[in-house]
Amino acid sequence: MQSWKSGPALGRSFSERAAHLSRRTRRLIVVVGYLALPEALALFWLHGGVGVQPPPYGGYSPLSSLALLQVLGATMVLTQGWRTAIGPKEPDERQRQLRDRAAYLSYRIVGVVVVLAMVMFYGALLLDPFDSWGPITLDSVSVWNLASCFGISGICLNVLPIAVVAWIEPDPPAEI
Amino acid sequence: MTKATDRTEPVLNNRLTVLRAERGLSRQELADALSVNYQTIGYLERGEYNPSLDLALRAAEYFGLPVEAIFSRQPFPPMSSQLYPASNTEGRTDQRDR
Repeated sequence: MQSWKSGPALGRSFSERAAHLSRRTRRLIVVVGYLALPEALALFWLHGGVGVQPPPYGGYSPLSSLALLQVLGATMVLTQGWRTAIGPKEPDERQRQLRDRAAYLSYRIVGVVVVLAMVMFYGALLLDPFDSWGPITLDSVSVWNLASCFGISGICLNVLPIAVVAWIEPDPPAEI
Repeated sequence: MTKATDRTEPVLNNRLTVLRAERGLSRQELADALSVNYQTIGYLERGEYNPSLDLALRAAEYFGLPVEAIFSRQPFPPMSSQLYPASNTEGRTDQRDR
């Protein structure tokens, strides 16, 4: 009897497994990957950006590297899954529709995020005027954390349409 | 409010699963014949994707059937009731008589 059950089967390559992940697993990977961004921001915030203490680990931040690895791992699985699902040919009409819908949704998501970030920034300025902000001195850990924030933001933005595809696409059918 | 990810188009009923089974085709074989991904055939069969007019016509051409024999906006009646309409009616009449 044929089964609609999806999921990685034994003996499949990494690409094949990535292309046959269930929707629940794909959504979990998206959440884990995108959690790297608040993690990196929190690390930068918690460290304070003020070089009052000698930088641990020789000025290198292993936690922000973990966040970077987290988003890179999620990106690799999602991208590989999408590429394998398309195969060597051009995407077919359903895949093109899905890609266009994901691009449209990504555009809306980015728009909402940018507006929210602006509102939060202006809100912070209103509540706590910039004149009262203390000086910020970046030490090597802060710079590493800040670089991770920018890097992770760039990756998250770049991979957003694929993450949206992974989020909205139903469970894949079996090949037989 | 309708979520952006919700389906807005009506579900199109189809007989692809039956036709594919009749001809002993795998999804991959049918997909190759129609120049689409095998997952697209699966989504079509599950009613999670509505084909374009071009794909529907290609499927009709491939199976040698009119397009309305494969795709329909109304649910298809069971094959048995179409193949044996008289015997089904008789069976029901017999049951009622009992």
